[in-house]
Amino acid sequence: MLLIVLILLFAAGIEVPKMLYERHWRDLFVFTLITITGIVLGILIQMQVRIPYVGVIITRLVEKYFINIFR
Amino acid sequence: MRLETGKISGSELIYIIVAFIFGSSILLLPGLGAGSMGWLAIILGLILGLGFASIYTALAMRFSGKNFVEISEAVFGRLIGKCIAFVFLGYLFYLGSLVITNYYDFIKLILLNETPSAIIVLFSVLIISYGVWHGIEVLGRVAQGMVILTVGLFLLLFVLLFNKMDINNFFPLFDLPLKQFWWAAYGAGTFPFGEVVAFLMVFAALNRPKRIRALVFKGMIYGGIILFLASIRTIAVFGHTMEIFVYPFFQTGKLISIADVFTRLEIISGMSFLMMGFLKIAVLLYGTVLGTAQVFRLNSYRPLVLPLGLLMGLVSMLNFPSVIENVKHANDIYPIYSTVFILVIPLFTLAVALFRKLLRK
Repeated sequence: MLLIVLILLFAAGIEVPKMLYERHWRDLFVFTLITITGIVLGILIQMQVRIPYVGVIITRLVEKYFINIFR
Repeated sequence: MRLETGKISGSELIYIIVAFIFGSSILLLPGLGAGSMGWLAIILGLILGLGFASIYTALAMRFSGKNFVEISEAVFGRLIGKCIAFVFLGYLFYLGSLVITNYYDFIKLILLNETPSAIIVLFSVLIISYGVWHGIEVLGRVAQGMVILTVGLFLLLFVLLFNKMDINNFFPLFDLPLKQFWWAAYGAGTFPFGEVVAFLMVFAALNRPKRIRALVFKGMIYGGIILFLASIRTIAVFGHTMEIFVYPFFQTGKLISIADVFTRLEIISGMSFLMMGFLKIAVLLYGTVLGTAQVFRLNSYRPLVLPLGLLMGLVSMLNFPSVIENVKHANDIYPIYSTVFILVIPLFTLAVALFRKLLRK
């Protein structure tokens, strides 16, 4: 998992100076937001923090509210 | 400023659609809920999928040269259009993560049991991101070679399994409740045929947009024929016992034995699954990245490819605790909520576009 975080940092190391030099502030903001989300998520998974399963949440929600409409 | 200047030909679009349909659906074979009638569920699913696709192509032809983000902004205005486009991109992103989940589950369960999930996801995403970084034109060219190779191997294994097939496995016909059969057919309509909605982000790159409907239909029908043959092969070999396997289509390959010399040919199937999966995830990542760059009016989509790809990979590891949950989700849950993205949003967009045109007249 740390490898994923390192690759994200490596990508940031390549892209961020370019964006700063070209003054693409919006690009920098979106790139930073996505990269930081990825790094935080990667670190949380690495630290074995219990994060709820996305698919399971969707499954429970659909079962609770929508499944009767369709079936 | 256009973010994507690459163009694909009609035949390249057909190849990409075939790969997209073949993609993860060959692992979690659609129509399985219909048991030995799975082949008919796939045919009905294809017909339903063609109905969905006629909405997408109507949008693409009405707004020639525009992808869904641009169409949405043109129809609903900037703010609401961006919000709807963002929701749609969220679906593409999540669908991409689901496909990655399918593949790493498959690789971990069947091929590389001891390898950590993160390594499988990381290297898959790196290769896919490299392809997406080069744009749709390169993906189109890659698709040609990969699809020809995969379909060739698929047909070869189909022929080699002839002696293991039993026509009696198809009987009795209609031995399940009609409601269950329709549900399986609808499931096949949404997964994989309805997922062609992702191509609303690709159609703008087509060099001859006037032929779009014929090309999409051709791609879907070819993909549907392959799925139909896959279903026939699985049912004819296993019959009702296929329900005990997580990946029944893959398991059929294990039965091939040529004079006890050439055995364990299922690895060929495994390799072709991986190639098709690469293209499916690549199209979904491409759509997400390009759309995100357009929504935020960025100068290029390329810097986002790797971070969004890795984020997609990380989310894929947080989807399901086990492959059983994944299969349940694909069969029972996915057809319900995906309807919003593959039918409601495109149909609503088309209806508003037609209504606004009527108002202008």
